[in-house]
Amino acid sequence: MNQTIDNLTTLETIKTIQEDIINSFNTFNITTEIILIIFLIIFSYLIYKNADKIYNFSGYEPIKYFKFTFLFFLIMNLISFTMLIFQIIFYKIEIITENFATIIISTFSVTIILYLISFGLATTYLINSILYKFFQKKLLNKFSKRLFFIFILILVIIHFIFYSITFLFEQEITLIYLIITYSILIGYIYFKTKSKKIFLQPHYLGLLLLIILSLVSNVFDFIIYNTNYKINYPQIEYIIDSFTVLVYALILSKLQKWTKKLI
Amino acid sequence: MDKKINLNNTFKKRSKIDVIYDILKIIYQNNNFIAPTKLMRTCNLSFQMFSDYIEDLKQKGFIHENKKGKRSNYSLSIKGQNFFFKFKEFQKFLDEFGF
Repeated sequence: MNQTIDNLTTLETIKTIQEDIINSFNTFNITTEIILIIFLIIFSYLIYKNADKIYNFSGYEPIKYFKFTFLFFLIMNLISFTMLIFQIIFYKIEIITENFATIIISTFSVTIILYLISFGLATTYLINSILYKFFQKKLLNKFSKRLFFIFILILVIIHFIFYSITFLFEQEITLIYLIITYSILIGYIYFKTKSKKIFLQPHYLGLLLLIILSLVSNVFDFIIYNTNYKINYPQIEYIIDSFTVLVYALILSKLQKWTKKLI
Repeated sequence: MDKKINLNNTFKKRSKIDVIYDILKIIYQNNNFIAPTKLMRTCNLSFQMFSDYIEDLKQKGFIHENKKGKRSNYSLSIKGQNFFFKFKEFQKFLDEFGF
């Protein structure tokens, strides 16, 4: 009896999701998103490959963290691509059976978990690549490096938990929290790098732009969640994704130049 | 002999990458063959720091440890030599990327 209720709920959930997708489906939007994500996949892969070459040449830790950041960005983008393909499948399929609904729900849950893990690890490696320069004297052996990595990972996990809880219950706190966190991060990078005149170099400029884009995207998510203002949402997403593509291209072009020089 | 080797920023606080360059430079300037004690003394590091750096360089494949009975010495690998010769360029890359 319970099994039947569970199956029915799964089927109903899937049908509700399918109805939502069919109602909001727009071929132009999906095509644009797919094109942008393909660019992000290609660029993040190329950045990863170039950073890998420079890391093999130098063995310098921040480049390893930078390399892994883009590996996890690559996985994230591949997952986003898979989600878009899911949307198209939902739009095309007319009959959904109970078994198919169960498979879809479990695959979808696994995909979301993988996305969150990739995002968390990409963020951790990104912060490591930024902070390593300032703590390198204390990070001489493997143990201290691992300890530092775990410390940053714990901070990122706490950040996600706090973000999710406040987003579900008190969105105003989320917004304030995001602005404070991002301001501290940007301010920290700015003051630490200003004196050395490295603030506007490709790596830092790229990372800074990615952080700002992420904040803008979060703020828009917040506004849309609270106001049900959905008309211009895809367009805003395209602008943010297009800027992300440009940032990736900026980092890639400089990295390729250096890979050719060094290797 | 040791005094002729100019270390990179001897009187400044050296970054990790500077220390690595100094170690490679000292090995290279000693005809790619140097005993651990002499290397440690010349690159001006404490025993603990020296051990950490040498372990790191061995893991990265930049240096080889050649053992003959109880004695051992260090020499640069091909990878270590490539890195040593292109170090100035690499430093420009680090500056440009802010790493």
